Amino acid sequence: MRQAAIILHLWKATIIQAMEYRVSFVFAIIANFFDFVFGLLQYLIFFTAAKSIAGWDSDQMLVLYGVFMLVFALHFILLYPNLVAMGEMVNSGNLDLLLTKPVNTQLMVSFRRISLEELGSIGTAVLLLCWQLYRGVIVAEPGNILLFGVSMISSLLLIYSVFLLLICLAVIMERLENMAQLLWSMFALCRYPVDIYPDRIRYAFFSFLPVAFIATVPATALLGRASAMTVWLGFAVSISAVAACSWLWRRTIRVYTSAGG
Amino acid sequence: MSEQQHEYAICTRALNREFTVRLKAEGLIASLRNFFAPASRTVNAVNDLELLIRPGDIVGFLGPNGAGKTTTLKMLSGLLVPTSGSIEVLGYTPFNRDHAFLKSISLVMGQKQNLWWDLPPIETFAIHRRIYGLSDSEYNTRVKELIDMLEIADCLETQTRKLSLGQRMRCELAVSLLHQPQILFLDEPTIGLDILMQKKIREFLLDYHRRFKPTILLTSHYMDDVAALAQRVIVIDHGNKVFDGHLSDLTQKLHPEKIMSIVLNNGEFECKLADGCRLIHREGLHYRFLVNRSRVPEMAAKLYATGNIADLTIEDPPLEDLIGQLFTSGRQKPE
Repeated sequence: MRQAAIILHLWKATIIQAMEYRVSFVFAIIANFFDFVFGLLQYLIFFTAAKSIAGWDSDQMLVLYGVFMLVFALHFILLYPNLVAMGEMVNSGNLDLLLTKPVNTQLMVSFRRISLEELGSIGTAVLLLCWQLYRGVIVAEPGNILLFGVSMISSLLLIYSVFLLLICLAVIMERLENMAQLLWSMFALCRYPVDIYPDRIRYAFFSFLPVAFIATVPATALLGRASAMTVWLGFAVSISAVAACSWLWRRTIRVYTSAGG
Repeated sequence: MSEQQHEYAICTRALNREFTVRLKAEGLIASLRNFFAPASRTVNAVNDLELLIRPGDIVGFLGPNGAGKTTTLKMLSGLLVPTSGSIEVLGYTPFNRDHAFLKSISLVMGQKQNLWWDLPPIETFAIHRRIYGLSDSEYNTRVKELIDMLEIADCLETQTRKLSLGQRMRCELAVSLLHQPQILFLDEPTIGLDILMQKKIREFLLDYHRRFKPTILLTSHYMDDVAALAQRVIVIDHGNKVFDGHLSDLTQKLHPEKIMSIVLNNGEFECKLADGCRLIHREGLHYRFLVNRSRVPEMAAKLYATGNIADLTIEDPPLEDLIGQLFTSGRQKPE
Protein backbone atom coordinates (compact mmCIF):
# COMPACT_ATOMS: atom_id res chain seq x y z
CA MET A 1 0.00 0.00 0.00
CA ARG A 2 2.84 2.37 0.86
CA GLN A 3 4.44 1.72 -2.54
CA ALA A 4 1.10 2.38 -4.27
CA ALA A 5 0.71 5.65 -2.35
CA ILE A 6 4.22 6.71 -3.38
CA ILE A 7 3.51 5.88 -7.03
CA LEU A 8 0.22 7.80 -6.94
CA HIS A 9 2.06 10.78 -5.52
CA LEU A 10 4.72 10.51 -8.22
CA TRP A 11 1.98 10.37 -10.87
CA LYS A 12 0.46 13.50 -9.41
CA ALA A 13 3.86 15.20 -9.68
CA THR A 14 4.25 14.02 -13.30
CA ILE A 15 0.83 15.40 -14.21
CA ILE A 16 1.65 18.74 -12.58
CA GLN A 17 4.91 18.71 -14.54
CA ALA A 18 3.13 17.96 -17.82
CA MET A 19 0.75 20.86 -17.19
CA GLU A 20 3.80 23.15 -17.14
CA TYR A 21 4.02 22.68 -20.91
CA ARG A 22 0.37 23.15 -21.80
CA VAL A 23 0.73 23.63 -25.56
CA SER A 24 2.96 20.57 -25.92
CA PHE A 25 0.51 18.55 -23.81
CA VAL A 26 -2.55 19.52 -25.87
CA PHE A 27 -0.67 19.07 -29.16
CA ALA A 28 0.42 15.55 -28.15
CA ILE A 29 -3.20 14.56 -27.37
CA ILE A 30 -4.35 15.85 -30.76
CA ALA A 31 -1.45 14.13 -32.61
CA ASN A 32 -2.23 10.83 -30.90
CA PHE A 33 -5.90 11.12 -31.82
CA PHE A 34 -4.97 11.57 -35.50
CA ASP A 35 -2.56 8.64 -35.23
CA PHE A 36 -5.51 6.53 -34.13
CA VAL A 37 -7.70 7.76 -36.98
CA PHE A 38 -5.01 7.17 -39.63
CA GLY A 39 -4.46 3.64 -38.28
CA LEU A 40 -8.18 3.01 -38.60
CA LEU A 41 -8.21 4.30 -42.21
CA GLN A 42 -5.35 1.93 -43.04
CA TYR A 43 -7.50 -1.05 -42.03
CA LEU A 44 -10.51 0.23 -43.95
CA ILE A 45 -8.40 0.70 -47.11
CA PHE A 46 -7.33 -2.97 -46.95
CA PHE A 47 -10.95 -4.02 -47.04
CA THR A 48 -11.79 -2.03 -50.17
CA ALA A 49 -9.72 -4.68 -52.01
CA ALA A 50 -10.62 -7.83 -50.03
CA LYS A 51 -13.59 -9.07 -48.03
CA SER A 52 -11.42 -10.84 -45.48
CA ILE A 53 -7.76 -11.31 -44.66
CA ALA A 54 -6.70 -14.70 -43.26
CA GLY A 55 -10.22 -15.32 -42.05
CA TRP A 56 -10.67 -11.86 -40.47
CA ASP A 57 -13.35 -9.60 -41.99
CA SER A 58 -13.32 -5.83 -41.58
CA ASP A 59 -15.54 -5.80 -38.47
CA GLN A 60 -13.40 -8.38 -36.73
CA MET A 61 -10.28 -6.52 -37.76
CA LEU A 62 -11.69 -3.35 -36.15
CA VAL A 63 -12.11 -5.30 -32.90
CA LEU A 64 -8.45 -6.32 -33.16
CA TYR A 65 -7.50 -2.70 -33.83
CA GLY A 66 -9.52 -1.55 -30.80
CA VAL A 67 -7.78 -4.10 -28.57
CA PHE A 68 -4.38 -3.26 -30.04
CA MET A 69 -4.87 0.47 -29.46
CA LEU A 70 -6.09 -0.15 -25.92
CA VAL A 71 -2.97 -2.16 -25.09
CA PHE A 72 -0.68 0.25 -26.93
CA ALA A 73 -2.18 3.29 -25.20
CA LEU A 74 -1.92 1.66 -21.77
CA HIS A 75 1.74 0.91 -22.47
CA PHE A 76 2.24 4.48 -23.65
CA ILE A 77 0.62 5.92 -20.54
CA LEU A 78 2.21 3.67 -17.92
CA LEU A 79 5.50 2.34 -19.28
CA TYR A 80 6.81 4.40 -22.15
CA PRO A 81 7.73 7.54 -20.16
CA ASN A 82 9.64 5.35 -17.71
CA LEU A 83 11.51 3.64 -20.53
CA VAL A 84 12.59 7.00 -21.91
CA ALA A 85 13.52 8.29 -18.44
CA MET A 86 15.55 5.17 -17.68
CA GLY A 87 18.14 5.80 -20.39
CA GLU A 88 18.67 9.31 -19.02
CA MET A 89 18.79 8.09 -15.42
CA VAL A 90 21.48 5.53 -16.19
CA ASN A 91 23.59 7.94 -18.23
CA SER A 92 23.36 10.79 -15.72
CA GLY A 93 23.83 8.55 -12.69
CA ASN A 94 20.58 9.76 -11.13
CA LEU A 95 19.60 6.10 -10.78
CA ASP A 96 22.02 6.09 -7.83
CA LEU A 97 19.75 8.39 -5.87
CA LEU A 98 16.69 6.26 -6.57
CA LEU A 99 18.51 3.11 -5.46
CA THR A 100 19.33 4.65 -2.08
CA LYS A 101 15.64 5.19 -1.28
CA PRO A 102 13.64 2.77 0.90
CA VAL A 103 11.29 1.81 -1.90
CA ASN A 104 10.55 -1.14 -4.16
CA THR A 105 13.01 -0.17 -6.89
CA GLN A 106 11.41 -2.35 -9.56
CA LEU A 107 8.06 -0.62 -9.09
CA MET A 108 9.70 2.79 -8.98
CA VAL A 109 11.69 2.41 -12.20
CA SER A 110 8.62 0.91 -13.87
CA PHE A 111 5.89 3.29 -12.83
CA ARG A 112 7.35 6.50 -11.42
CA ARG A 113 6.22 8.52 -14.41
CA ILE A 114 2.97 8.60 -16.31
CA SER A 115 2.02 10.21 -19.60
CA LEU A 116 -1.59 11.21 -20.19
CA GLU A 117 -1.07 12.04 -23.85
CA GLU A 118 -2.61 8.72 -24.98
CA LEU A 119 -5.72 9.09 -22.83
CA GLY A 120 -7.61 10.14 -25.95
CA SER A 121 -6.58 6.90 -27.69
CA ILE A 122 -7.96 4.85 -24.82
CA GLY A 123 -11.25 6.71 -25.11
CA THR A 124 -11.46 6.18 -28.87
CA ALA A 125 -10.41 2.51 -28.60
CA VAL A 126 -13.13 1.90 -25.99
CA LEU A 127 -15.67 3.72 -28.18
CA LEU A 128 -14.70 1.56 -31.16
CA LEU A 129 -15.08 -1.63 -29.09
CA CYS A 130 -18.44 -0.44 -27.67
CA TRP A 131 -19.64 0.26 -31.20
CA GLN A 132 -18.64 -3.27 -32.28
CA LEU A 133 -20.42 -4.63 -29.20
CA TYR A 134 -23.55 -2.67 -30.12
CA ARG A 135 -23.39 -4.04 -33.68
CA GLY A 136 -23.13 -7.60 -32.35
CA VAL A 137 -19.62 -8.23 -33.67
CA ILE A 138 -18.37 -8.74 -30.10
CA VAL A 139 -19.95 -11.78 -28.48
CA ALA A 140 -20.73 -10.53 -24.96
CA GLU A 141 -21.08 -13.83 -23.09
CA PRO A 142 -19.69 -14.29 -19.55
CA GLY A 143 -17.20 -16.96 -20.70
CA ASN A 144 -15.83 -14.69 -23.43
CA ILE A 145 -15.64 -11.70 -21.10
CA LEU A 146 -13.67 -13.80 -18.58
CA LEU A 147 -11.29 -15.03 -21.30
CA PHE A 148 -10.92 -11.47 -22.60
CA GLY A 149 -10.12 -10.20 -19.07
CA VAL A 150 -7.51 -12.93 -18.53
CA SER A 151 -5.98 -12.46 -21.96
CA MET A 152 -5.78 -8.66 -21.47
CA ILE A 153 -3.96 -9.18 -18.17
CA SER A 154 -1.58 -11.60 -19.95
CA SER A 155 -1.06 -9.10 -22.73
CA LEU A 156 -0.16 -6.27 -20.33
CA LEU A 157 2.10 -8.56 -18.27
CA LEU A 158 3.97 -9.69 -21.40
CA ILE A 159 4.54 -6.11 -22.46
CA TYR A 160 5.66 -5.29 -18.94
CA SER A 161 8.18 -8.15 -18.98
CA VAL A 162 9.67 -6.93 -22.28
CA PHE A 163 9.82 -3.43 -20.79
CA LEU A 164 11.58 -4.73 -17.68
CA LEU A 165 14.01 -6.72 -19.81
CA LEU A 166 14.92 -3.53 -21.71
CA ILE A 167 15.31 -1.62 -18.43
CA CYS A 168 17.71 -4.30 -17.17
CA LEU A 169 19.68 -4.19 -20.42
CA ALA A 170 19.94 -0.41 -20.13
CA VAL A 171 21.43 -0.75 -16.65
CA ILE A 172 23.77 -3.62 -17.53
CA MET A 173 25.02 -2.08 -20.77
CA GLU A 174 25.09 1.42 -19.22
CA ARG A 175 23.85 2.86 -22.47
CA LEU A 176 21.02 1.54 -24.58
CA GLU A 177 19.48 4.10 -26.83
CA ASN A 178 16.28 3.59 -28.81
CA MET A 179 14.96 1.11 -26.28
CA ALA A 180 11.46 2.28 -27.12
CA GLN A 181 12.13 1.40 -30.76
CA LEU A 182 12.61 -2.26 -29.80
CA LEU A 183 9.32 -2.28 -27.96
CA TRP A 184 7.56 -0.56 -30.81
CA SER A 185 8.90 -3.11 -33.31
CA MET A 186 7.18 -5.73 -31.22
CA PHE A 187 3.98 -3.69 -31.35
CA ALA A 188 4.25 -3.51 -35.14
CA LEU A 189 3.97 -7.33 -35.20
CA CYS A 190 0.86 -7.20 -33.00
CA ARG A 191 -1.05 -4.77 -35.16
CA TYR A 192 -2.35 -7.55 -37.42
CA PRO A 193 -3.75 -11.00 -36.57
CA VAL A 194 -1.06 -13.68 -36.33
CA ASP A 195 -3.14 -15.77 -38.75
CA ILE A 196 -1.74 -13.71 -41.64
CA TYR A 197 1.72 -15.23 -41.09
CA PRO A 198 2.93 -18.62 -42.38
CA ASP A 199 2.58 -21.59 -39.99
CA ARG A 200 6.15 -21.59 -38.68
CA ILE A 201 6.14 -17.90 -37.87
CA ARG A 202 2.71 -18.24 -36.30
CA TYR A 203 4.06 -21.05 -34.12
CA ALA A 204 6.96 -18.82 -33.09
CA PHE A 205 4.50 -16.06 -32.18
CA PHE A 206 2.74 -18.44 -29.80
CA SER A 207 5.97 -19.79 -28.28
CA PHE A 208 9.43 -18.21 -28.46
CA LEU A 209 8.20 -14.70 -29.20
CA PRO A 210 4.70 -14.74 -27.79
CA VAL A 211 3.36 -11.64 -29.53
CA ALA A 212 0.13 -13.50 -30.41
CA PHE A 213 -0.97 -13.06 -26.79
CA ILE A 214 -0.72 -9.28 -26.96
CA ALA A 215 -3.62 -8.39 -29.29
CA THR A 216 -4.72 -11.38 -31.36
CA VAL A 217 -5.72 -13.63 -28.46
CA PRO A 218 -7.69 -10.94 -26.53
CA ALA A 219 -9.45 -9.95 -29.78
CA THR A 220 -10.39 -13.57 -30.55
CA ALA A 221 -11.76 -13.82 -26.99
CA LEU A 222 -14.05 -10.85 -27.66
CA LEU A 223 -15.13 -12.44 -30.94
CA GLY A 224 -15.98 -15.70 -29.15
CA ARG A 225 -13.30 -17.64 -31.06
CA ALA A 226 -10.63 -18.07 -28.40
CA SER A 227 -9.62 -21.43 -27.04
CA ALA A 228 -9.65 -21.40 -23.23
CA MET A 229 -6.45 -23.44 -23.23
CA THR A 230 -4.62 -20.86 -25.36
CA VAL A 231 -5.79 -18.05 -23.08
CA TRP A 232 -4.64 -19.81 -19.89
CA LEU A 233 -1.40 -20.83 -21.59
CA GLY A 234 -0.82 -17.15 -22.37
CA PHE A 235 -1.53 -16.30 -18.74
CA ALA A 236 1.01 -18.86 -17.54
CA VAL A 237 3.60 -17.61 -20.04
CA SER A 238 3.09 -13.99 -18.99
CA ILE A 239 3.32 -14.74 -15.25
CA SER A 240 6.52 -16.73 -15.86
CA ALA A 241 7.95 -13.92 -18.01
CA VAL A 242 7.29 -11.28 -15.33
CA ALA A 243 8.78 -13.53 -12.61
CA ALA A 244 11.90 -14.14 -14.73
CA CYS A 245 12.34 -10.43 -15.49
CA SER A 246 11.82 -9.50 -11.81
CA TRP A 247 14.59 -11.92 -10.91
CA LEU A 248 16.74 -10.36 -13.62
CA TRP A 249 16.10 -6.88 -12.18
CA ARG A 250 17.23 -8.01 -8.72
CA ARG A 251 20.39 -9.47 -10.25
CA THR A 252 20.90 -6.35 -12.32
CA ILE A 253 21.00 -3.96 -9.38
CA ARG A 254 23.57 -6.19 -7.74
CA VAL A 255 25.89 -5.90 -10.73
CA TYR A 256 25.10 -2.22 -11.29
CA THR A 257 28.37 -0.30 -11.55
CA SER A 258 26.91 3.21 -11.38
CA ALA A 259 28.08 6.10 -13.53
CA GLY A 260 31.39 7.74 -12.62
CA GLY A 261 33.21 7.49 -9.33
CA MET B 1 19.15 -3.94 14.69
CA SER B 2 19.04 -0.26 13.74
CA GLU B 3 17.91 0.83 17.21
CA GLN B 4 20.96 -0.74 18.77
CA GLN B 5 23.82 1.67 19.47
CA HIS B 6 26.90 0.42 17.67
CA GLU B 7 30.45 1.22 18.68
CA TYR B 8 31.14 2.08 15.07
CA ALA B 9 28.63 3.62 12.71
CA ILE B 10 30.78 2.49 9.79
CA CYS B 11 33.10 -0.48 9.85
CA THR B 12 34.84 -1.96 6.83
CA ARG B 13 37.40 -4.75 6.77
CA ALA B 14 39.68 -5.55 3.84
CA LEU B 15 37.21 -3.85 1.52
CA ASN B 16 37.95 -4.27 -2.18
CA ARG B 17 36.18 -3.21 -5.31
CA GLU B 18 37.31 -4.04 -8.79
CA PHE B 19 35.97 -2.73 -12.08
CA THR B 20 36.47 -4.08 -15.54
CA VAL B 21 37.46 -1.27 -17.85
CA ARG B 22 37.23 -1.56 -21.63
CA LEU B 23 40.45 -0.55 -23.36
CA LYS B 24 40.26 1.42 -26.57
CA ALA B 25 43.27 2.12 -28.71
CA GLU B 26 43.34 5.09 -31.06
CA GLY B 27 42.22 4.87 -34.67
CA LEU B 28 39.60 3.19 -36.83
CA ILE B 29 41.42 -0.15 -37.25
CA ALA B 30 41.92 -0.43 -33.51
CA SER B 31 38.25 0.42 -32.96
CA LEU B 32 37.20 -2.28 -35.43
CA ARG B 33 39.47 -4.81 -33.75
CA ASN B 34 38.07 -3.75 -30.41
CA PHE B 35 34.52 -4.10 -31.71
CA PHE B 36 35.02 -7.81 -32.50
CA ALA B 37 37.49 -8.64 -29.73
CA PRO B 38 37.07 -6.15 -26.93
CA ALA B 39 40.09 -5.80 -24.68
CA SER B 40 39.67 -4.98 -21.05
CA ARG B 41 41.63 -4.76 -17.84
CA THR B 42 40.69 -4.94 -14.20
CA VAL B 43 41.11 -1.83 -12.11
CA ASN B 44 41.23 -1.98 -8.33
CA ALA B 45 39.23 1.08 -7.34
CA VAL B 46 39.44 0.29 -3.63
CA ASN B 47 42.12 -1.88 -2.00
CA ASP B 48 41.89 -3.49 1.43
CA LEU B 49 40.22 -0.46 2.91
CA GLU B 50 39.78 -0.50 6.68
CA LEU B 51 37.45 2.16 8.05
CA LEU B 52 36.25 2.58 11.60
CA ILE B 53 34.04 5.60 12.14
CA ARG B 54 32.22 6.28 15.39
CA PRO B 55 28.64 7.55 15.52
CA GLY B 56 28.43 11.32 15.33
CA ASP B 57 31.90 11.83 13.82
CA ILE B 58 32.51 14.08 10.85
CA VAL B 59 35.17 12.56 8.64
CA GLY B 60 36.70 14.16 5.57
CA PHE B 61 37.46 11.74 2.81
CA LEU B 62 40.23 13.09 0.62
CA GLY B 63 42.00 11.97 -2.50
CA PRO B 64 42.70 13.00 -6.07
CA ASN B 65 40.25 12.22 -8.89
CA GLY B 66 39.90 8.49 -9.35
CA ALA B 67 41.28 7.72 -5.89
CA GLY B 68 38.24 5.62 -4.97
CA LYS B 69 36.37 8.08 -2.74
CA THR B 70 33.05 7.98 -4.56
CA THR B 71 33.31 4.21 -5.09
CA THR B 72 33.72 3.82 -1.33
CA LEU B 73 30.73 6.08 -0.64
CA LYS B 74 28.68 4.06 -3.11
CA MET B 75 29.60 0.80 -1.40
CA LEU B 76 28.79 2.28 2.00
CA SER B 77 25.39 3.46 0.78
CA GLY B 78 24.53 0.09 -0.78
CA LEU B 79 24.79 1.09 -4.44
CA LEU B 80 27.78 -1.08 -5.23
CA VAL B 81 28.50 -4.60 -4.08
CA PRO B 82 32.13 -5.01 -2.94
CA THR B 83 34.32 -7.50 -4.78
CA SER B 84 35.56 -8.77 -1.41
CA GLY B 85 35.79 -7.73 2.23
CA SER B 86 33.07 -6.77 4.65
CA ILE B 87 31.07 -3.63 5.35
CA GLU B 88 28.79 -2.81 8.24
CA VAL B 89 26.94 0.46 8.38
CA LEU B 90 24.83 0.91 11.52
CA GLY B 91 24.98 -2.87 11.84
CA TYR B 92 23.56 -3.45 8.35
CA THR B 93 25.21 -4.87 5.27
CA PRO B 94 24.52 -1.99 2.86
CA PHE B 95 24.14 -3.94 -0.39
CA ASN B 96 21.30 -5.99 1.13
CA ARG B 97 19.40 -2.72 0.86
CA ASP B 98 17.17 -3.24 3.90
CA HIS B 99 14.58 -0.49 3.99
CA ALA B 100 15.43 0.19 7.63
CA PHE B 101 19.03 0.81 6.58
CA LEU B 102 18.06 3.02 3.64
CA LYS B 103 15.84 5.07 5.96
CA SER B 104 18.88 5.71 8.18
CA ILE B 105 21.17 7.13 5.52
CA SER B 106 21.23 9.89 2.99
CA LEU B 107 23.49 10.32 -0.01
CA VAL B 108 23.97 13.84 -1.31
CA MET B 109 25.87 14.12 -4.57
CA GLY B 110 26.79 17.61 -5.68
CA GLN B 111 26.40 16.71 -9.35
CA LYS B 112 23.17 14.72 -9.11
CA GLN B 113 19.83 15.81 -7.86
CA ASN B 114 16.76 14.52 -6.11
CA LEU B 115 14.73 17.60 -6.95
CA TRP B 116 12.28 17.34 -9.84
CA TRP B 117 13.51 19.77 -12.45
CA ASP B 118 10.16 21.20 -13.54
CA LEU B 119 8.50 21.24 -10.15
CA PRO B 120 8.96 23.50 -7.13
CA PRO B 121 11.10 21.91 -4.37
CA ILE B 122 8.07 21.70 -2.07
CA GLU B 123 6.61 19.02 -4.41
CA THR B 124 9.78 16.94 -4.09
CA PHE B 125 9.57 17.40 -0.31
CA ALA B 126 6.04 15.95 -0.41
CA ILE B 127 7.24 12.95 -2.46
CA HIS B 128 10.05 12.29 0.02
CA ARG B 129 7.61 12.55 2.86
CA ARG B 130 5.71 9.61 1.32
CA ILE B 131 8.91 7.68 0.56
CA TYR B 132 10.13 7.93 4.16
CA GLY B 133 6.66 7.57 5.67
CA LEU B 134 6.84 10.75 7.76
CA SER B 135 3.84 11.72 9.87
CA ASP B 136 2.24 15.15 9.47
CA SER B 137 3.84 16.50 12.61
CA GLU B 138 7.31 15.09 11.79
CA TYR B 139 7.12 16.48 8.29
CA ASN B 140 5.90 19.92 9.32
CA THR B 141 8.43 20.30 12.14
CA ARG B 142 11.37 19.17 10.01
CA VAL B 143 10.44 21.24 6.99
CA LYS B 144 10.13 24.33 9.15
CA GLU B 145 13.48 23.65 10.83
CA LEU B 146 15.28 23.09 7.55
CA ILE B 147 13.68 26.11 5.90
CA ASP B 148 14.90 28.28 8.76
CA MET B 149 18.37 26.79 8.89
CA LEU B 150 18.94 26.88 5.13
CA GLU B 151 17.02 30.13 4.51
CA ILE B 152 15.06 28.66 1.61
CA ALA B 153 11.56 29.99 2.36
CA ASP B 154 11.58 32.12 -0.78
CA CYS B 155 12.53 29.34 -3.21
CA LEU B 156 10.20 26.53 -2.16
CA GLU B 157 7.46 27.43 -4.58
CA THR B 158 9.63 28.29 -7.57
CA GLN B 159 10.32 25.60 -10.16
CA THR B 160 13.70 24.00 -9.54
CA ARG B 161 14.92 24.87 -13.04
CA LYS B 162 14.51 28.56 -12.21
CA LEU B 163 16.58 28.44 -9.01
CA SER B 164 20.23 29.43 -8.78
CA LEU B 165 22.80 26.69 -8.17
CA GLY B 166 23.17 27.78 -4.55
CA GLN B 167 19.42 27.75 -3.93
CA ARG B 168 19.16 24.34 -5.59
CA MET B 169 21.93 22.89 -3.45
CA ARG B 170 20.31 24.20 -0.26
CA CYS B 171 16.96 22.71 -1.29
CA GLU B 172 18.76 19.48 -2.22
CA LEU B 173 20.24 19.32 1.27
CA ALA B 174 16.84 19.99 2.81
CA VAL B 175 15.18 17.20 0.86
CA SER B 176 18.01 14.79 1.72
CA LEU B 177 17.71 15.57 5.43
CA LEU B 178 13.93 15.44 5.76
CA HIS B 179 14.05 11.93 7.21
CA GLN B 180 16.81 12.92 9.66
CA PRO B 181 19.36 10.30 8.60
CA GLN B 182 21.81 8.88 11.12
CA ILE B 183 24.50 8.83 8.45
CA LEU B 184 25.04 11.45 5.83
CA PHE B 185 27.25 10.73 2.85
CA LEU B 186 28.22 13.99 1.20
CA ASP B 187 29.94 13.72 -2.16
CA GLU B 188 31.23 17.13 -3.26
CA PRO B 189 28.30 19.05 -1.76
CA THR B 190 29.74 22.47 -2.59
CA ILE B 191 30.95 21.76 -6.11
CA GLY B 192 30.46 24.69 -8.46
CA LEU B 193 29.24 27.05 -5.72
CA ASP B 194 30.75 30.47 -5.11
CA ILE B 195 32.80 31.11 -1.99
CA LEU B 196 29.95 32.74 -0.05
CA MET B 197 27.58 29.88 -0.79
CA GLN B 198 30.23 27.31 0.10
CA LYS B 199 30.64 29.05 3.45
CA LYS B 200 26.88 29.09 3.98
CA ILE B 201 26.61 25.35 3.28
CA ARG B 202 29.50 24.62 5.64
CA GLU B 203 27.92 26.69 8.39
CA PHE B 204 24.64 24.90 7.86
CA LEU B 205 26.29 21.48 8.05
CA LEU B 206 28.08 22.40 11.27
CA ASP B 207 24.85 23.72 12.76
CA TYR B 208 22.92 20.64 11.62
CA HIS B 209 25.57 18.36 13.09
CA ARG B 210 25.54 20.27 16.39
CA ARG B 211 21.76 19.84 16.64
CA PHE B 212 21.23 16.30 15.36
CA LYS B 213 24.65 14.62 15.62
CA PRO B 214 24.57 12.51 12.44
CA THR B 215 27.71 10.71 11.33
CA ILE B 216 29.01 12.58 8.29
CA LEU B 217 31.40 11.27 5.68
CA LEU B 218 32.39 14.07 3.36
CA THR B 219 34.34 14.15 0.13
CA SER B 220 35.27 17.50 -1.31
CA HIS B 221 37.88 19.04 -3.53
CA TYR B 222 37.54 22.25 -1.56
CA MET B 223 39.94 21.91 1.31
CA ASP B 224 38.15 24.70 3.15
CA ASP B 225 35.16 22.36 3.44
CA VAL B 226 37.29 19.69 5.02
CA ALA B 227 39.18 22.09 7.28
CA ALA B 228 35.95 23.68 8.50
CA LEU B 229 33.94 20.50 9.02
CA ALA B 230 36.07 17.46 9.64
CA GLN B 231 37.74 16.56 12.89
CA ARG B 232 39.37 13.63 11.19
CA VAL B 233 40.53 13.01 7.64
CA ILE B 234 41.08 9.84 5.71
CA VAL B 235 43.23 10.19 2.64
CA ILE B 236 43.12 7.59 -0.11
CA ASP B 237 45.05 7.34 -3.30
CA HIS B 238 44.66 4.67 -5.99
CA GLY B 239 42.24 2.91 -3.68
CA ASN B 240 44.75 2.66 -0.82
CA LYS B 241 44.40 4.44 2.49
CA VAL B 242 47.47 6.63 2.93
CA PHE B 243 46.46 8.59 6.02
CA ASP B 244 43.86 8.35 8.75
CA GLY B 245 43.95 10.81 11.60
CA HIS B 246 43.49 14.38 12.72
CA LEU B 247 43.98 17.11 10.18
CA SER B 248 46.56 18.77 12.46
CA ASP B 249 48.60 15.53 12.54
CA LEU B 250 48.55 15.38 8.76
CA THR B 251 49.70 18.98 8.56
CA GLN B 252 52.42 18.46 11.12
CA LYS B 253 53.75 15.32 9.49
CA LEU B 254 53.74 16.67 5.98
CA HIS B 255 54.86 20.15 6.79
CA PRO B 256 56.97 20.54 9.92
CA GLU B 257 56.95 24.32 9.42
CA LYS B 258 54.43 27.10 9.86
CA ILE B 259 54.14 30.23 7.79
CA MET B 260 54.90 33.42 9.71
CA SER B 261 54.07 36.83 8.23
CA ILE B 262 55.34 40.04 9.73
CA VAL B 263 55.08 43.72 8.91
CA LEU B 264 57.90 45.83 10.33
CA ASN B 265 57.56 49.42 11.45
CA ASN B 266 60.85 50.27 9.76
CA GLY B 267 64.27 48.86 8.92
CA GLU B 268 65.01 45.30 7.86
CA PHE B 269 64.58 41.78 9.17
CA GLU B 270 67.27 39.21 8.79
CA CYS B 271 65.84 35.73 8.31
CA LYS B 272 68.49 33.24 9.45
CA LEU B 273 68.45 29.55 8.79
CA ALA B 274 70.19 29.09 12.11
CA ASP B 275 67.00 30.37 13.80
CA GLY B 276 64.95 27.73 11.91
CA CYS B 277 63.70 30.45 9.58
CA ARG B 278 63.46 30.34 5.74
CA LEU B 279 62.34 33.43 3.79
CA ILE B 280 59.78 32.72 1.08
CA HIS B 281 58.61 36.22 0.13
CA ARG B 282 59.46 39.84 0.81
CA GLU B 283 57.70 43.01 -0.30
CA GLY B 284 58.84 46.24 1.35
CA LEU B 285 58.35 45.89 5.08
CA HIS B 286 56.21 42.75 4.66
CA TYR B 287 58.05 39.42 5.13
CA ARG B 288 56.73 35.85 4.79
CA PHE B 289 58.88 33.01 6.03
CA LEU B 290 58.73 29.40 7.16
CA VAL B 291 59.57 28.60 10.76
CA ASN B 292 60.06 25.19 12.28
CA ARG B 293 56.95 24.43 14.37
CA SER B 294 58.96 23.80 17.53
CA ARG B 295 60.59 27.23 17.25
CA VAL B 296 57.48 29.30 16.48
CA PRO B 297 56.87 30.55 20.09
CA GLU B 298 60.52 31.42 20.53
CA MET B 299 60.65 33.25 17.20
CA ALA B 300 57.43 35.18 17.91
CA ALA B 301 58.74 36.26 21.33
CA LYS B 302 62.04 37.29 19.80
CA LEU B 303 60.32 39.38 17.14
CA TYR B 304 58.00 41.15 19.60
CA ALA B 305 61.00 41.85 21.80
CA THR B 306 62.54 43.97 19.04
CA GLY B 307 59.61 46.42 19.40
CA ASN B 308 59.68 46.84 15.61
CA ILE B 309 56.70 44.63 14.71
CA ALA B 310 53.54 46.32 13.32
CA ASP B 311 51.76 43.03 12.64
CA LEU B 312 52.45 39.31 13.03
CA THR B 313 50.42 36.32 11.86
CA ILE B 314 51.11 32.59 12.04
CA GLU B 315 49.33 30.08 9.80
CA ASP B 316 49.50 26.56 8.51
CA PRO B 317 50.39 26.06 4.85
CA PRO B 318 47.26 25.81 2.63
CA LEU B 319 45.66 22.37 2.85
CA GLU B 320 45.59 22.13 -0.95
CA ASP B 321 49.40 22.34 -1.00
CA LEU B 322 49.72 19.70 1.69
CA ILE B 323 47.42 17.26 -0.05
CA GLY B 324 49.12 17.95 -3.37
CA GLN B 325 52.45 17.27 -1.69
CA LEU B 326 51.08 14.02 -0.26
CA PHE B 327 50.11 12.75 -3.70
CA THR B 328 53.20 13.90 -5.55
CA SER B 329 55.97 13.02 -3.09
CA GLY B 330 56.43 9.50 -4.36
CA ARG B 331 53.12 8.40 -2.83
CA GLN B 332 54.94 7.76 0.41
CA LYS B 333 52.96 7.11 3.53
CA PRO B 334 53.31 9.78 6.21
CA GLU B 335 52.83 7.18 8.92
